[in-house]
Amino acid sequence: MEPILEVRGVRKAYQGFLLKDVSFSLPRGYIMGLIGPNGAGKTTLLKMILDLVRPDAGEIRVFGMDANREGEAVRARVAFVHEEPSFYGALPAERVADIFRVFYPTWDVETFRGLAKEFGVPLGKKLKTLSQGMRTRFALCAALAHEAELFLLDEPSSGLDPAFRRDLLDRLSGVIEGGQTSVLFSTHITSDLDRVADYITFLRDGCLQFTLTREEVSERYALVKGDPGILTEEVRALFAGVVVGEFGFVALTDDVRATREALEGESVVVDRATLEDVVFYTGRKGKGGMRFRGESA
Amino acid sequence: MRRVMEKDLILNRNVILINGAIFAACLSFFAIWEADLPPRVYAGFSAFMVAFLPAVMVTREDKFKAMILGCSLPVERKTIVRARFVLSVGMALVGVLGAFLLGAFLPSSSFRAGDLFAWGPLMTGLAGITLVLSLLLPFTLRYGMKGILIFLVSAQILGAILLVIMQVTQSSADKVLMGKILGALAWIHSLVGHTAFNALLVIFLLATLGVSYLVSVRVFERREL
Repeated sequence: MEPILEVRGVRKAYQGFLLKDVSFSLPRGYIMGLIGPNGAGKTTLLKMILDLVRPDAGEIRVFGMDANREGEAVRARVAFVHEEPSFYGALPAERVADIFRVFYPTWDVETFRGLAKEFGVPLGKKLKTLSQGMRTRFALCAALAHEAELFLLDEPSSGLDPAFRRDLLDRLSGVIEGGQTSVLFSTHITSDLDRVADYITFLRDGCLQFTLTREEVSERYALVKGDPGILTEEVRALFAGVVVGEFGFVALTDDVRATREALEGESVVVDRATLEDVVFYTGRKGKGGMRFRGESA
Repeated sequence: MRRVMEKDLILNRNVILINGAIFAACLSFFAIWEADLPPRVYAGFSAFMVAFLPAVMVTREDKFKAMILGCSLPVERKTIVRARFVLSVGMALVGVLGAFLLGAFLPSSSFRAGDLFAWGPLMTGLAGITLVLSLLLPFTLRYGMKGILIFLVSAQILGAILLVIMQVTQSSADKVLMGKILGALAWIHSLVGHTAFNALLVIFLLATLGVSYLVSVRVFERREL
């Protein structure tokens, strides 16, 4: 089956930033989490899918259509929540929703009102009087009120309280149940992805580190803890990242089997790596350029 | 396009009304207290004022960073530009018409209806609207509020440079140039007659607006949000 979203060799250069040849695809009926530190290129990528930013090279296809040339048709089937939801703050929430409504033939007023009630969004209040979290809730109501096939959510859970975040994740899981809808959302809160994401795409400094299923990430990555004395050049080469502390080192490996074999007999502990570990340690250094805490790059 | 225009009107209704009231107060002052003001100047001035109404929309868009929202909706950028042009021209025409009605029927106004609702002031108003919008819209669509500032500052710098050059070189090239333009217009007027001349002027203004539209589409399609 054709993927709902296909990103092929996308490149975008800004002054001081380069998104390099990013490629991945998202099948129908799945949730993909887009992770990476600030400035990794997550928002740029989401904006390119919405055709708000044009790639310098490469291609983005959504529902089999070119995101640039057929942008209008693509956006009609996409729901979005921007990182900082930008609305006309001087208008009441309900009035802004009325504006959205005319652009989406599948917009369901009852669904929208029901969601607003459920999410606790005061529709009569001007948007500028609402908190950032409440504006995000409003944006989520709008995103869920029409029959979108692809949800693009840029940091939807930041600014939301933990209880609502959990509700949101449950709702996103519900959205894909029919097998026709997919969700791509970027987040810093990697524990959210542990709960719902089927695929993880990791960007760092504009480079795609990996795009894997959640299970593949768990299988591929592990934390290795041990005495710094065993950190020979050969051992270091096994790690995607390492941090040396006063009492030992913690390293991230992306080849658990090879690491186990190489360190057999050594006094090390191999632990499961969480997504946060993967982002944290990969973010500390690259395989080719060892860097220790306190040292400059 | 209608949906985009409705969106812009709903979002900017209050500020348009407030600015309309300010313009009306200003024009009332000219109509009542500037007795020597020629109708063409009144027409040109009112056209210049109302043609800046799109700037009001842009300031709102910038304030609320709402262009990103507009461009995330299922609508082509070209349609957004077209809607902005139609709305701006429409608002400006309504504004100039309102200014003429105000000037003509305001008690104590120094104008009579016949002074303003004549070919001269009407064409001046139309030319003022078209030229200002044609120059302004590509800048605002590309750069937002910054575009208006770029437009105004560039115009002032250019004017100042030309003025200095004129002063330093003691040249009368500006007067010669204006004289040649007016002479050429008078020659065309005498050649084709009054009605055809006005028709040609309208065609020229529409062509200018058309070129501005095409430029705006091109620059707005390239704008990254």
